[in-house]
Amino acid sequence: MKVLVLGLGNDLFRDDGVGLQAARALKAELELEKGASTDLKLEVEVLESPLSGPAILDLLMGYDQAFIIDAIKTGEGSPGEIYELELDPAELGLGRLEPSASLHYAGLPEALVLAWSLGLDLPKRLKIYAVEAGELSLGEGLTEKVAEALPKLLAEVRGEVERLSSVAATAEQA
Amino acid sequence: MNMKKIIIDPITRLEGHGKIVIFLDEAGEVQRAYFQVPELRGFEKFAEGRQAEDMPQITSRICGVCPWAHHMAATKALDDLYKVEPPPAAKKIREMAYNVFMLEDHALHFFYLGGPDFLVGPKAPKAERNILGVLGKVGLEAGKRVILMRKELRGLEALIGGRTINPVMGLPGGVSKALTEANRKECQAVAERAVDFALFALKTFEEVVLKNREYLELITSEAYTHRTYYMGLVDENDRVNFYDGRLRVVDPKGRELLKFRAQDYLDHISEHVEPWSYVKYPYLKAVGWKGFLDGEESGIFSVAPLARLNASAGMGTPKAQEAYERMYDTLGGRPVHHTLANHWARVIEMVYAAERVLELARDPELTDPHVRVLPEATPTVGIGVVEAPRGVLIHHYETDERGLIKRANLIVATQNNSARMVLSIDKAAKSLIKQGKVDDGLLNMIEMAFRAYDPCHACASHAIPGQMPIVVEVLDHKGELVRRLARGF
Repeated sequence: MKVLVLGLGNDLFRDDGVGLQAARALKAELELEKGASTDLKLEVEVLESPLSGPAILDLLMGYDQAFIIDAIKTGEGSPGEIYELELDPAELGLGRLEPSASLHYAGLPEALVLAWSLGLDLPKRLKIYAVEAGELSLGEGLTEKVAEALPKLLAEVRGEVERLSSVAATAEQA
Repeated sequence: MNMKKIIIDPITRLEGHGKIVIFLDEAGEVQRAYFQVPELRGFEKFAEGRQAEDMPQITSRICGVCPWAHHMAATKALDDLYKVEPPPAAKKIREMAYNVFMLEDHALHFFYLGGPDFLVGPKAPKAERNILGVLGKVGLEAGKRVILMRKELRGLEALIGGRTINPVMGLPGGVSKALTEANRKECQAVAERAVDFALFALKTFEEVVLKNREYLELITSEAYTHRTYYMGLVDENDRVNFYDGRLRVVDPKGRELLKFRAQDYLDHISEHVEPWSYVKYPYLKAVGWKGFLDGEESGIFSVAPLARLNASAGMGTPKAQEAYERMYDTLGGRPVHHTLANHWARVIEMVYAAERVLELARDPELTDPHVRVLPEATPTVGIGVVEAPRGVLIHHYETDERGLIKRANLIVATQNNSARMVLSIDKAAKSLIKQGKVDDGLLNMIEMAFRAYDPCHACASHAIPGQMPIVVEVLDHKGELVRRLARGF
């Protein structure tokens, strides 16, 4: 089973970099554990990307499961809050596409519907972790609240990956 | 003055973004309309004190939409800063990689964004005017081809640029990596498929659009027509070039007004400031600012695909040249003033980009290992230009003698088009707002014009990378909200 953890964002725009930082940290953790007895029963790849919309399809192809980590500004939550969203291809059918929110690029839902319609080799399951951003202005480094949320975010994603791994291990034994 | 005010604010919840303001008089008729393009505010301060050599990396991360355009403009600004001329192989590698990017970006726009307007049709129901509607027209196989071709092109970008996105190849005086013969062969193989792909896109456009009388009438309708000046980068034969050359400006009759080096841009381009806004509107100094008007007397100019073709004498490659001639024959000669013809120009540029990549990939000099001249001069000022997918992009850096940035100025393509976009808003507003009543078609008409220009706010507002939702707020002459039209929220 091939699993992708994809951190999206831009680390020149403060909290927009949270996905990239999470991906970087997770990659380092997984590298450290390579060869250890806790080896995951999965093939996990961790990527960082500033891309959006259909361009993300290039990165998603070829995996069974993907986790996407990104910043979000709902304007309602407090900075550092983590939202989780699972996308099921069956629910994103052809007829369910809303007009694009963007004049410039189609968003992730459009991209996914497109890919699934075309029968491209995309993850069968997709989970998105979005972190409420504090500041999204030009500058480096996360704001305090968002930085504080990183360990929790990492633990969540780690937990999901490990859960998948144990499912894979059980399947192997069976 | 007593006026009503309509505001269209694309990204109301975030700071520093574009906004459309339409002023009505007391009778409810449109007095004037403005489109403010956000500038990259705060960037100068961000860049201050950093090493100039870091700019190709930093600026390419400003935006996930066109990292290559910033990377290349920054790299060329560094050549100029250190007064160093890259070796021929380095220039060819840069130009080839850059054309790969232009093709890939144009393809995305052509099928995914513009496609719903012209392939599905401007009058099709909203629910069909999306990428799936496009697939319905061109077929699933074609849709797959677009995705897979883009993936291949991105693979080439990674091969040449070191990374797919945020390339690391550009250095003052050359590139970081020479290409091997195996690399060259791979580029050539992809380029051959890319030429077929671009010709397929052109054929799709010409078949669907040119056989559709209604769409042709829409392209040429007065509503989407502005007679402005045009600016674009041209080679020594005045043909379109995305990577290098001089900036050529033609007047609304197609006569050359100016041809200059990017380093002299301040002599030719000035910025008009409206008292009510921080936004600046670039115009031609030689003609002068005469307000938001078109025609020969007004210094407003335009950039991007149609402007590039208008400002040139032709395309540098054979198939693109044929397509160029066909467009001008159909639309009544050069220059074409119809905004919606940008889609046509874009697909012609796809053919050019693909052919140019193939030309360069076949060039034996491409694999010359000499790809870098070491810079030795003491830096002061460096200015670089490229044609970004959305038009002329200029990077301007001033440094101290150690090469630390004192001042950075980025003039982005969308900003260059801002005054002409105001003309489009103004025309749309005048035809669809009468006696204070706003027709729902206003949003659609503005959207159609915008999609043709393909304005990119990612440079200033990366938070939602490259996205541009629209909000229209109608305020009466006391500044109170009368009506709100929104899309994207």
